[in-house]
Amino acid sequence: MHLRIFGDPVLFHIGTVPVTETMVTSTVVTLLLIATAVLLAYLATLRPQHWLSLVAFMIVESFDNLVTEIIGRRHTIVSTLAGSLFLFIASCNIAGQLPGVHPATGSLATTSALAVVVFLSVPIAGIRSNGVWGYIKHYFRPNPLLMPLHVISELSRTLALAVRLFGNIMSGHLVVGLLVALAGFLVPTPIMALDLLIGLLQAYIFAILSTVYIGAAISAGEE
Amino acid sequence: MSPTLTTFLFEAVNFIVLTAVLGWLFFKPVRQALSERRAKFEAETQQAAQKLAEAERMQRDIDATRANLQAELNELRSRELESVRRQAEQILTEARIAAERQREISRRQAAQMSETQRDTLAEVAATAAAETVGRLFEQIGGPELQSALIESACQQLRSLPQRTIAPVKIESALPLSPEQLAALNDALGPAASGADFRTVDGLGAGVRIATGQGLIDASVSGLTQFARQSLVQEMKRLANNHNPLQSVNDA
Repeated sequence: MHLRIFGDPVLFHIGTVPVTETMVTSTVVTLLLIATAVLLAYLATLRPQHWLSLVAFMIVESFDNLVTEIIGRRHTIVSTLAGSLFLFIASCNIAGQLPGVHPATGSLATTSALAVVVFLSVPIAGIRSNGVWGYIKHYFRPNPLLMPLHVISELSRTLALAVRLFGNIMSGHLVVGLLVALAGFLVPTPIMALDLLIGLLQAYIFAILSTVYIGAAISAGEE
Repeated sequence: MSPTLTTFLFEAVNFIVLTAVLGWLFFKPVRQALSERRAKFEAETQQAAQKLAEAERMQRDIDATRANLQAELNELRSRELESVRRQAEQILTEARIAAERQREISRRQAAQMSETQRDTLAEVAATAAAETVGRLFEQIGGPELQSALIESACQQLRSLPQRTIAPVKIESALPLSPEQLAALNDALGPAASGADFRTVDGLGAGVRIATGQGLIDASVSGLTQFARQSLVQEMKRLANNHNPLQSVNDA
C-alpha cells in the first residue's frame, strides 16, 4: 500500500492541466452525491411516504433547524451551504474507507479550497446582510486598533478549518494504512470504524463552524 | 501548472458547483416538498380541529336534544301513566258496576231459583201432606166419615142464603143413604127440588156441592186439596217472613 501525506499523484493530463487522484475522487463523489440527491429529491417530491423521502426530509430539516438555531432565523442559502459542506466532506470521508481510495479530504488542497470557500462566504453573507459599511465596521469594534486582530482571526480560523479537517482525515487514513501494512487485513477494522466516526464528526464540525462564522458575519451589524 | 494549485482550484470550483447543484436539485425541491407537506399537515390539523370543534358542537347539540327528548319522554310517560291510571280506574269502575250488575242479576236469579225451589218444595210438601191426609181419611173411612162430611156440607149450606143457592149439583163418592139425603134436602131448602144428585169417582168420601154461590167441597179429595193449598200458602207466608235469601246476599 502506498502511503502519502502531502503528495497527490497526477493520474493524467488534459492538455496542460494535470488531473490528480484527489480530483478524480472528489469528482466521483460529487457525481454520486448529485445522483443520490436527485433521486432523493425525486422521491421526496413524488413519493413523500417513501423512507428515502423521509431521509431527505430529515437531512434538509436538520440543517435548516441547525442554521436557524445558530443564526437566529431561517436562512436557506446558509443551510444549503452547510448541508453541502457536510454531505461532501462526509461522503469523501466515507469513500476513504473503501480499499484503494484516497479520501479527497485527506488532501490539504481540498480542505484549503473548502476553507477558502467558507472564508469568502463570510464577507459575502455579511455584506449582503448588513451592507458593505455595516459589515466592514464590525472590524473596528470595539476599537479600531483591534482590526488587525480581526483579520488575523479570520485568516487563522480559515487555516484552522483546513488543517483540522486535513489532519484528522489524513492521520486516520495513515493509521489505518500503517496497521494494514504491519498487522494484517482485519486488525485495523476497529480503527476504521473509529476513523469513519471521526470523519462524520469532522464533517459536522466543519459545517457547524462554517455556519457559526457566516452567522456571525450576518449578525455583525446587529451587535 | 502545479498539481496542488490545480487541485485547489478544481476542488473550490467543484464544491461551489456541487453546492449550486444540490441547492437547485436537492435542497430547494425537498424544502418545497417539506413545506407542502407541512402545509398539508397544518391544513389537516386545522381541518381536524374544525372537525373536532364541529363534533363537539354536534355532541353538545345531541346532548341538548337528548336532554329535551328525555324531558319530553318523562313528561309523556307521566302523562301516559296518568291517562292509563285514569283508564284503569274507569275500567275498574265499569268492572265494578258490571260485577255489581252481574251480582244483582245473579242474586235475582238465585232468589228466583230459590223462590221456585221453595214453591216447588212447598208444593211437594203440601202434596205429600195432602196425600197423607187423604190416606188418613181413607183409613178412617166408613159411614161415620161420610156422615161427618155430609153434616159439614149441610152446615155450610145452611150458612148460605136460601134464595141464591139454586141451581145445585151434588156429587158424592158413595151412594147417599136416606138420612143423609134428607139432611141435605133439609139444608138446601127450596133449592132441593131442582138438585142434581150424582155419584162420581175420585172424591174418596163425602160430597161436593156446586151452588149458585159457589162450590162447597166436603169430600176427602176436596179436603185434601184444601189442606194442600192451605199448607202451600202457609209455607210461602212463613218463607216470605223468614227471608231465606239473606244468606245468599251475605255470600
